[in-house]
Amino acid sequence: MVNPFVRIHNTKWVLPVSILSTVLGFMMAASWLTKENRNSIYSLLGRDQQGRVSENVIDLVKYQDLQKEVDSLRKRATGLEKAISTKNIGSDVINEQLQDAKMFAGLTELEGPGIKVTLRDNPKTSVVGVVDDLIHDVDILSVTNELFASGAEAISINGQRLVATSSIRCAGPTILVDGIKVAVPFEILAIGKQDVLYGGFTTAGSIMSNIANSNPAMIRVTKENKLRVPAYLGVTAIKSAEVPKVTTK
Amino acid sequence: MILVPIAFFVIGVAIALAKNVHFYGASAHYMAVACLAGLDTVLGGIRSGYERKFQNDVFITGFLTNTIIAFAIAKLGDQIGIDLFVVVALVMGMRIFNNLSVIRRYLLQGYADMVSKRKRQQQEELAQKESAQTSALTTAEGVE
Repeated sequence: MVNPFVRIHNTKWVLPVSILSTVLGFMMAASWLTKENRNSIYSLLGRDQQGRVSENVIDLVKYQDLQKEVDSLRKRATGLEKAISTKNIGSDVINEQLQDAKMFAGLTELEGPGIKVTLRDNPKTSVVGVVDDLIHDVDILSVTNELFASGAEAISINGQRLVATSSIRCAGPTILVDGIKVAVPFEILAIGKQDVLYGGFTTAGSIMSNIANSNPAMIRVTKENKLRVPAYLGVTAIKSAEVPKVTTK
Repeated sequence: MILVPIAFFVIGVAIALAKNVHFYGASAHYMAVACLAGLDTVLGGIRSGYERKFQNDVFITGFLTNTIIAFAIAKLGDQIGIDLFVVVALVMGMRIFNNLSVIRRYLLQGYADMVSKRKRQQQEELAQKESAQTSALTTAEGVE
């Protein structure tokens, strides 16, 4: 029945507890998940947690980046409009070069003849989860690699355009192309010389026969006379790299 | 009394933020579990302080071994393919709640004691005043 500040006259615990709670605060703040280190623990998470992380975090980050980019693009567009209105000379030449570069970079929609590769999981799977019965990120990666090697000029996976910085990886049950989820069936469109693409893709010992080994229904290749490959819609801002001012020979 | 460790905790957070220290990859994963163990030990220290059972060596070795063991168990779990960090999280979570409830009781008790003491003091003052008045009255009567 006394004041606690009088009753607890024995205060020797305060100093050690304070010191170690400093250490604790340091530890907690250091292991706090931030945008930078969150992805580094991604591979350590369980499958369901991976799904949540990829849904909630990666897409949000992407969304914010896209917003920033839209903003900067709008500003750049207005700048260009002003430049065109002030001096008109040679602008069409520049524009032509720009369109060529954009086409090569995958920033424009393209259409032309090519082939369509459809990949799906084995429908006649006897045991659930047999590795060969599922389409993996590696399968898609090798298919697109094969197509590029046969001279494909533009490739898209389920409407996701592949560009120079594209990545294809696995996130639990789904596959991420440039961080965006795609799911079975995977439709890979490739524009290029039809016969070369088709021939290179269907020769014996190619990636196609590897996948078709499990079940031929897992992969289907068709020639298409007119394909439409969408433009790349991801982030194009370059943050770390810059063009050197002095060119080295 | 309890505010001092909290203030130091904030200082620790501030140091980590100022120096921009971050754990990456696996160590961040295990460190999170170790943090739970550390939090439990610090709360246990505060609790034993209120219970007047605090011992310096027990507290410091407890902090070190708890964090290291929590870290090691989480790592072991990853190595052998069982989510052992769940075990640490469960046990430490229970202990944290336990310690917190005991600390809360002591704080509430202290507050109640403080209120009742103040009340008693006021009553004593009142009683003193009354007795002073009555004595003054009696002396006045005596003079008359």
